[in-house]
Amino acid sequence: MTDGVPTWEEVARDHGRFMYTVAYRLAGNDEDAQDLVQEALIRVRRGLERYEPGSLEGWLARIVTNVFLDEVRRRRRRPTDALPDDPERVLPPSPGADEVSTQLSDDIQAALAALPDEFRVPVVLCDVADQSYEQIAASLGIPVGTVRSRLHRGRRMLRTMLSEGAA
Amino acid sequence: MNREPTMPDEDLLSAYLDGECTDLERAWVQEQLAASPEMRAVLAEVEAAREAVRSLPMRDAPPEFWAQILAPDATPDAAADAAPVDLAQHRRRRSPGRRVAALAGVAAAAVIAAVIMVPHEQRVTPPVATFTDAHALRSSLQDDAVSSLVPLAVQGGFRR
Amino acid sequence: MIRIVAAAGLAVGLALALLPGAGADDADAVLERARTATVREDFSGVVQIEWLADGEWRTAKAKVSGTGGTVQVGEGTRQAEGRGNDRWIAGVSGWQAGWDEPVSGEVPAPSAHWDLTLSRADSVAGRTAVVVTAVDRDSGTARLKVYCDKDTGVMLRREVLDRKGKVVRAVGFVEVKKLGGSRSAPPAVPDTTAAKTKSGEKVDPTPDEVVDLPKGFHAPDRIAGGFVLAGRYLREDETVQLYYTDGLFGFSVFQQRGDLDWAGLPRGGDGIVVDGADARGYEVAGGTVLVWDRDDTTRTLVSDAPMADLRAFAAAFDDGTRDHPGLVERITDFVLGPFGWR
Repeated sequence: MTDGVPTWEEVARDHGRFMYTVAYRLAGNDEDAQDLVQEALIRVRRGLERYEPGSLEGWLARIVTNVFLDEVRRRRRRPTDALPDDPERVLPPSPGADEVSTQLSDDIQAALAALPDEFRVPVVLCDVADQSYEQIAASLGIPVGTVRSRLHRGRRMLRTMLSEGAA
Repeated sequence: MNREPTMPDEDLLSAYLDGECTDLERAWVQEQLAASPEMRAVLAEVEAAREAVRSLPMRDAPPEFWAQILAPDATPDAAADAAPVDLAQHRRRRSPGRRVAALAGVAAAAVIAAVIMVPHEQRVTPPVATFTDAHALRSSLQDDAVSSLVPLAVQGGFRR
Repeated sequence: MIRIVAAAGLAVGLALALLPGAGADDADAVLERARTATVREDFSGVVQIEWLADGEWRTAKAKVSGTGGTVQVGEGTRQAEGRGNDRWIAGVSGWQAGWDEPVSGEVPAPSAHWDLTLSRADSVAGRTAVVVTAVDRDSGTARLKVYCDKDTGVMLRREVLDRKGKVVRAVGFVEVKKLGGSRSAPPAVPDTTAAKTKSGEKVDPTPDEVVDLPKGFHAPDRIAGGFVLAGRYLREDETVQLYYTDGLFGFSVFQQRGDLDWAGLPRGGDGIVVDGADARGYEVAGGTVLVWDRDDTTRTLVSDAPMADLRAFAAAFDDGTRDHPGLVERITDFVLGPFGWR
């Protein structure tokens, strides 16, 4: 690290797992998460020259999120590749997980993945990446009030899906 | 599914939980909670959802992922100058030997790969929250059940 | 020394014990009575946990009740329930079984390692109380105070003190709506959601008590400081849980095969050193937690004792797992002395 700016190696070693976790919770599956992290790491490599020491994980979460949103926008322009917006969609557990996984963890991940993007992103940034409302607002380019509203609605939807799944 | 808030300023409940309220807003929420069972029910809902997501474990990439990122025969300069990658195009070209532009030199790649790619069975992540709960359960058999079990019913656990 | 269940005539004995000169036997009896009082008595109220973390006090509250021998804490999607040896936990997806093994190990009486005194106390949550104070025999410092309801014997408050005699953790009633009186029938047993493997098979999420541990795991019968092994359990994720007690403080040691993945630990916590090994420590509502690895196993220690005590226990545990005959006794003073634990 030089003057508080990490090297790319340090970012990958110390924060690669964090980036992958955020990417996985945004994308909902390992394949997309891998693509997101690859692209994010390229942007990190380029951006380190301009990085001002501060909240590194906040910066990394923003990059991963921007890559995710860029991909979402691209898919919307290509109907054949578009992800369904149906909130009832439930993704299966992805391969590579522990041999024995509790139903609880799978249910929560499936419900999270089934949230519409505009609600899932703030929930992931707040409750997975541990970002403040201000950081989330800056990442998404929206007012703090909108962050507050989308986060709240996303959580209520999540709770409804989890309750219905348990019934 | 897209439930609209049923009460004015209901959004404040999530902000209240996250400590993102002003003092005035917090006081207002506390007043509303004291007076309204409906509001308390909504708070319990959002708290449950929040804790559910926060309870999810960290996620590991498959071991071969980092090996591909740090492929020894790729060049860092090419990566820095490359145009933004179209991920959908990437996926269509995916193959077992797929390479992406590497972002580090060979020596660093070996070090990083060794750290990041340690086989799953050799490194473990203790589920500390689960262990803390398990301790509470066992303690409650032998000591006062109420004081032992109460931690299972409150927040104040680990931060993700 | 085996704990003896209190007889029904304890109420009379308790009254006598409040006279000047009440000794360890009386205090032991009060503690024993408190251990089972919430099963004998119906009650309801609010309990608060208070703990010191990063120099700041944190609190959390929960509703509690006891009905016909069933203890219930919390509400909504965050609850726990206990009946006999069975425990259940509620999460967002419903109830799951948490425990179903009885206590089969030897449990020392508190007075075996602590100097206990019994005296009157200020009221707690509006109830007349007595207090048992446990004093460290070596340092002469009070380390635990247990306040019990004078009429029913129910534990009203438990205060943990550090080696300077300062309260660092407490759990107790802040409101008592009902305590004692007529008993009601217990509620129905929770309807549980079964945990499943990826292939859909049901798994039993409760740990199983075992006599022999898998190869590579260690379970010293005793740990310096008066701790006795009171249970060995194998969990469904192949983790081993050991439960140690000195009659007043319980310590759970969880062991997993493999080195610790530091990146996977929760945020925050403090860097601690356990006999030369790096560790991470946390203070949370559920207790004090210490995580470290040694000899190819990752170890997690949980207790409601202060961090200095966990650090000493961890060092003693690690030493106890090594093949050094006689070393445990010699190292006791070296490890525990600087912390004034005993």
